Amino acid sequence: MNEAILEIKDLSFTFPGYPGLDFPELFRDLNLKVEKGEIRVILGKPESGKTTLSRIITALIPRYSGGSLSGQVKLDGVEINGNQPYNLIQKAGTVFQNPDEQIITTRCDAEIAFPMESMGWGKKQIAERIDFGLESTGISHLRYRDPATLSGGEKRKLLLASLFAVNPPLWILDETFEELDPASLRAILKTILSQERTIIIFMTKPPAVLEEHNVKFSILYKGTLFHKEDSPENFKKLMIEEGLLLDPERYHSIQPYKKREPLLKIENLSYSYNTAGAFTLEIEHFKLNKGEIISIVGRNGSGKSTLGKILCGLLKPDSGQIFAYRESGLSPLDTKNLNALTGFIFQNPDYQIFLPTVKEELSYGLNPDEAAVDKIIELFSLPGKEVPPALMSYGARKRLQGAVYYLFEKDLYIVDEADSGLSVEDFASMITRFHQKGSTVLFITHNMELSRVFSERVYIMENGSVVQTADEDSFNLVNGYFAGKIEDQA
Amino acid sequence: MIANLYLQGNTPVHKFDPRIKLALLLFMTVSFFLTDSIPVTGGFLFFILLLVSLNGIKQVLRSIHSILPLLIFVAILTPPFHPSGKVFYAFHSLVLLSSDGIREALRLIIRFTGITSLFFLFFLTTEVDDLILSLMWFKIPFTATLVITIALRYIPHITHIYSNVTDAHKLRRGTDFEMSGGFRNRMKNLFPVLVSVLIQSIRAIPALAMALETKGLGFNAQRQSFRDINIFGSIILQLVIAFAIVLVVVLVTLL
Amino acid sequence: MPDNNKNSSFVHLPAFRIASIAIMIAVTAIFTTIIRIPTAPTRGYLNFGDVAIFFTAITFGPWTALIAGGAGTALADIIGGYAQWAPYTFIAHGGQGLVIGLIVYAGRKKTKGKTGIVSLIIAFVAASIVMTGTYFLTGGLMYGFGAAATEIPGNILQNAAGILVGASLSAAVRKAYPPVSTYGW
Repeated sequence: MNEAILEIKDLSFTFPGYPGLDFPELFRDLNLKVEKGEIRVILGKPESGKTTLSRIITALIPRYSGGSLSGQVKLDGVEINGNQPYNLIQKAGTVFQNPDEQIITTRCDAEIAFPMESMGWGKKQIAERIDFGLESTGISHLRYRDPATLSGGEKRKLLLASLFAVNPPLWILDETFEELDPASLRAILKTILSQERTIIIFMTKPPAVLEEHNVKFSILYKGTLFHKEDSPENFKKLMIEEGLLLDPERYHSIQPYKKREPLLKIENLSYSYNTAGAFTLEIEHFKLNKGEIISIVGRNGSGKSTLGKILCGLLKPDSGQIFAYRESGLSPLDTKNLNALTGFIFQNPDYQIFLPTVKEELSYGLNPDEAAVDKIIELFSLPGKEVPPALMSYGARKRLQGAVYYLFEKDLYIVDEADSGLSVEDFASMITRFHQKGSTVLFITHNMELSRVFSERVYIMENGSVVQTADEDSFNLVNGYFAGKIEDQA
Repeated sequence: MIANLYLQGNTPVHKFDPRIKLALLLFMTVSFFLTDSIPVTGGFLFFILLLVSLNGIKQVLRSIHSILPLLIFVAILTPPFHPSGKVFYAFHSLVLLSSDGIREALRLIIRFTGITSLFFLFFLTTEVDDLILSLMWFKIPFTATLVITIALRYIPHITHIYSNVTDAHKLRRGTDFEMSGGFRNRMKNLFPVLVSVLIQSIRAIPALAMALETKGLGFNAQRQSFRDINIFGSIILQLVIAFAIVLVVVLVTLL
Repeated sequence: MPDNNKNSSFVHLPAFRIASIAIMIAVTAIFTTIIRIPTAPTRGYLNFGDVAIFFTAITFGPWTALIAGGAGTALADIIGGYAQWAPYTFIAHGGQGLVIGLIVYAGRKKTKGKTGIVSLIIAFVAASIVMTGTYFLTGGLMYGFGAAATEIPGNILQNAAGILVGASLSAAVRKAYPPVSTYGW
């Protein structure tokens, strides 16, 4: 029996509320024991408390959040309660879910150096550890770069490099592997596991690559942890219930594919990015039909978000034309027309929020009557009329965005990075609402499964062009394509 | 967005130790106030512009470009307040242009242009990181330099937020949202955008604080700094040159 | 003061203070360089730097406003190519932020937490004097008091915009995101 590096006993925690907004209990009697050398993956749907748990372990919560915490947390034998986060960095290191929140300098080597400088390590040692960190994550060529210019995956590698450099015995990774393709993930896991370490990984979707290692799984369900080793069947049931494993049968309320009237089309569109070395977005043909649900799938950087922004008129293409199908024939659309036609649900739900209550946000610019507001709040499961939107949970803020656009009666709804931060239930119900109105729904994602279950047609993008399309009949082909491409790189 | 001024180059000024440059910057700024002699300050200005021109004539123009309107103002507004000396132009009994007036205007123009081009030269040839390291060497507390470094990291980030927020609001408001028109109209559209930007920026604060603590801020140890200031060439030689400059300036102003 | 203090027990932590100052420096720099509205009466633009300073002082207090106001505007000068102004800008706007914060916070002690109109007006006057005065003096030394005097109306206008928009923004942000009411010190 290995000694435990982390021991959590009967943990209960609730966030403090605000007048008019109470938060339910987040953890209740949560127990976890992680032994030295273990790889523990903790799954959970968005908002289940993964990030909060990772922060409790490193003494950041309730330090930065307030709230009532009871139970015992011991990190490497040391009681967390009463300890400062900066005193624990030699025991545990974290990579935050959002890399932009964790990066504080303007040079990659300086970023890695910072914790070691804080601890007063020798200059030579710091230099060596920086080299080691960069090599271990394969980003030595980015040494002098400004982290702000890095891609999402590269930023995460930078933060991992920091962990390699300081090398604490426990690594806590919060959704770190989200954007990595299987080949990179395999390589990185190999390096991480080349030395005995204890790792806790928080994820929503466990990639297949993990099965190749001796990994223990747990799921954060209704405030407590269920471990796969205790009961594998129960575990699988919980995964399905939380939407971590998609069961197409559950979402059959979406109407199946059928022949539809066309809505708009793109001809010979091209758009180049300002940054040097980036590819050009080139779309020869693209068509959207009325009332359908379609998806654009591709890796990060494939151009899918850009296409979405062009479709709603936020970006102007360099050449090419977008047409609407009207009774009189094809009519070209400029950015203003596209603005009016489309609702764009941003990945970040906070861009629009500025009013003190949900009611005001819903009424802004529109003045719907009381009954309509109540109905919308119910339809989108929003906490209440008088609740400040900025204080609602992330998922609720995303739903609010959807609700606002729903009121606007758009012909086309584009959902960017559909499953980030939204549970599958919430995502399904949101696009169902739009669909039931008769509007077209286009969602953008890198999650093939989501696309397969929810959309009638798919466009797959890579390096700025559409490489494959599919409808229900040919979906298996689509899957095969994606899987095939990945194997080639292994 | 930052380091707008810095131009990569190989001039002797680029190679100078940033700490010496910083000290000289302060000293030379003061030297413009030490004397009223136009030939002397004119000489200083000429020398500075000469160093700027090592990077190309375009840079010399750039350095003066932004203050040109102000210089014109100075040229016109100063002489009326110094009506003594030989009169060149008077409007009835109001002397608008006299020899003393011209002298004073010239003095001020040289002084202001001199200081402007001095700062321009400094920031043209010194990287921000080196400047910050120099400040630390001069025993400016780490907290102060940390705050600047972090701010520099967040400026592009928040700029990005501003542009996304503007997009989101524009999309939501539709045709209503115009950034033209009078003050009231612009404010109507700008105000909600600013509120959203401020909320997002303020939200980042506790997250940043958490990041700082997980990076050891507060750890009880003597802080290390792994980066050294870039030193090109012999620092002894540079110190000698610097002393020579100081000596020349002092002598010339005393005479 | 609303009793949300349990939510913000971290306000005294050095990490929090450093973070809030750094972010507000960035915000101030951006408001100064990017956010501007053309004004009909005076030639040119009204930049929102003073708006940011009033906002910071009212929301975060005198010390954050001192450093954020000073360093933020000084950085804006350096970035924008007016580096020669940076030292004076730091003093002018740092002083501005400090003075507004001190007056508004002193006023709150008397009115039990609410920001009164009177304290805002006094803050406006004091801020205008400090900011405009500093620029006048340093400008005068650099290029003559005649030319420096021409900047006075524009600077006062900046302060007016600052108090009007800055105070409104502070109220709106505090209503939309209540925790920020406890972030001041």
